[in-house]
Amino acid sequence: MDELMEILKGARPDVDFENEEALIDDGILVSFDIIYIVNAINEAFDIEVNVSQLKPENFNSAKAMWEMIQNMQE
Amino acid sequence: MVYSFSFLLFVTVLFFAYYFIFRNHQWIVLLIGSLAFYLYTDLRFSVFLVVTTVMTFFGAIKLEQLADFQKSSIKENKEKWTKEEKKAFKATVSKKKRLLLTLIAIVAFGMLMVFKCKKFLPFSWLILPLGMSFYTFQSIGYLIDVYRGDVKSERNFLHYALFVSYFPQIIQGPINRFDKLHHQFFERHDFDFAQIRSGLWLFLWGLFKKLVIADRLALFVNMVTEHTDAPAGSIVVTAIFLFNIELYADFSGGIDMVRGISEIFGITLAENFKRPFFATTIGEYWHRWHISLSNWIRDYVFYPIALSKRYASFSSKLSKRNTHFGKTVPAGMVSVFTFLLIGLWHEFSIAYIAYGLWHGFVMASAQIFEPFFSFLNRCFSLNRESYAMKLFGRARTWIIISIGEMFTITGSFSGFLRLVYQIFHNFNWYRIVTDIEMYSLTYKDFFVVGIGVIIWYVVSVRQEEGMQIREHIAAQPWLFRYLLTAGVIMITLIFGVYGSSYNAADFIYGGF
Repeated sequence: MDELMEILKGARPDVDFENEEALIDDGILVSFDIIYIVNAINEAFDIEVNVSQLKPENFNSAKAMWEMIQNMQE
Repeated sequence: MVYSFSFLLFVTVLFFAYYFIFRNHQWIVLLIGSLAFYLYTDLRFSVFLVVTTVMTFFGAIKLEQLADFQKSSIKENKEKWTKEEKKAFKATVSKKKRLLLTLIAIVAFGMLMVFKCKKFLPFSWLILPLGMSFYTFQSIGYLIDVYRGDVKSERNFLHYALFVSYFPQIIQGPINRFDKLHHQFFERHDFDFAQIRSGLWLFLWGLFKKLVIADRLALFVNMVTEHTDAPAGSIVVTAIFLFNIELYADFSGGIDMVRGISEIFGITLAENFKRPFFATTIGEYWHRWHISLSNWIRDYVFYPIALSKRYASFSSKLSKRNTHFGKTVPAGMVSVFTFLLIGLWHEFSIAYIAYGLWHGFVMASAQIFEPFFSFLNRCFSLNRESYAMKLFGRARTWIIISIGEMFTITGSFSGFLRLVYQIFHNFNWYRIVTDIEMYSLTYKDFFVVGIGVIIWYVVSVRQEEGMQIREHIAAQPWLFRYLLTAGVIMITLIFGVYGSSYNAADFIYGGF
């Protein structure tokens, strides 16, 4: 989780990723951020997030992203 | 036929058949209605609709069969095949799938491009087949969804034909997604007075925007921009300002009418607008304007490019030197490309290429130079969340949009240059007062438009605050509801723009 938080903070230092629950729904993260985050996640966790997984429910919070990563690693 | 008396008659007949005669076969009523509507409106070019439907229907089935074959073969040979053999087999099947998808997309977009490029071809007299831009994107979107395994392919041709040809959406979109729309056709829709009334209100509201605001402003805007007598720059600026309102009223009004009619049949279509002129940045604007097109481009063009290995490696190399540039420069480049496609979706012309590039460059620059803008904000102690800054952001977005519209408003790049020349060499601000009535509209017309826009603005502000307007009206006493409905009908009938020389059924986006 710490590694993910580091990536998120690197992408958007101004966002409170610990508490935000609607990063996509509220338009806090834009497509430029999402792309950066996904490519960084792919590299850091050795997974391949595909376009079909770019859904709000997977990216609305740091927790949701972490769950997606864990599911993909299993 | 679109929104004429015969159209209303057609919807009424369909309505009775749908709810009272063929209640167990409602989707068939919609399919027959949709095909009848299309054949009646655009008989000559219905062949393109048929080719696209047939091609994507069978293409999707084949794609799914290939995916199933891949899965079952790997399962069967789990023990027999080595890791390399599995990988090689997967690559062969994936290549076949990719080839099939590419071939179908090339044919479908190729047919569309012939019409979009007609200016450069010997048959410039061709008229774009009704809804071609919309049904091509919608059916290719479905094909990609099946290719990705996000949806199951439809095996009933008639079911699929309804998804592609559904008559309200064929006029000017929105571009619907298979997983959101398709299942609705096959659910039972009982007669629900509240829902039908709500659909009628939405239709009426769209009609008000179209006839009272858009069609009235169109008279002024068209006359100014087509005027060869060089109107003053101040008049040109006014026309561009009003064109933004006209375009939004025309397109969103048309979409409200489309969605309203669809709701009468219990089918909810995708939202296409979320009050775009409340956007404080150009990025936010594209999340609120023509949403179904920008989401399509994002999901089927932007994301696939930006998640490719080549992109990741370029971004990663840049990030090692500078994280911010690694994040924004490659994405900015893809953004310029995708906006170029949005421009070309409208029309293959220099004017629309310039329109797309303009939006792409502004979007990319906003992200790339974001640290500089933040620095300026800090220097001047500006709070982005303050009302004044939001107002500034909205005005800035409006100006950016207006510059983009200037490329296309006259239909040619030379027309754009003519407008720029007038603004910078012949502004003459006082001629707003002296000449304003020379271009089709009187002060009374501007007054009517002004009142219409104020009503629209107040409604939009309440929507921004989260109010569900139609639910709110439905909760009011019946007398208020009927007076309000009658009032909007009366205003539209009295103040709507009609006339033999002006076809109210022409929608700007119907032409794309």
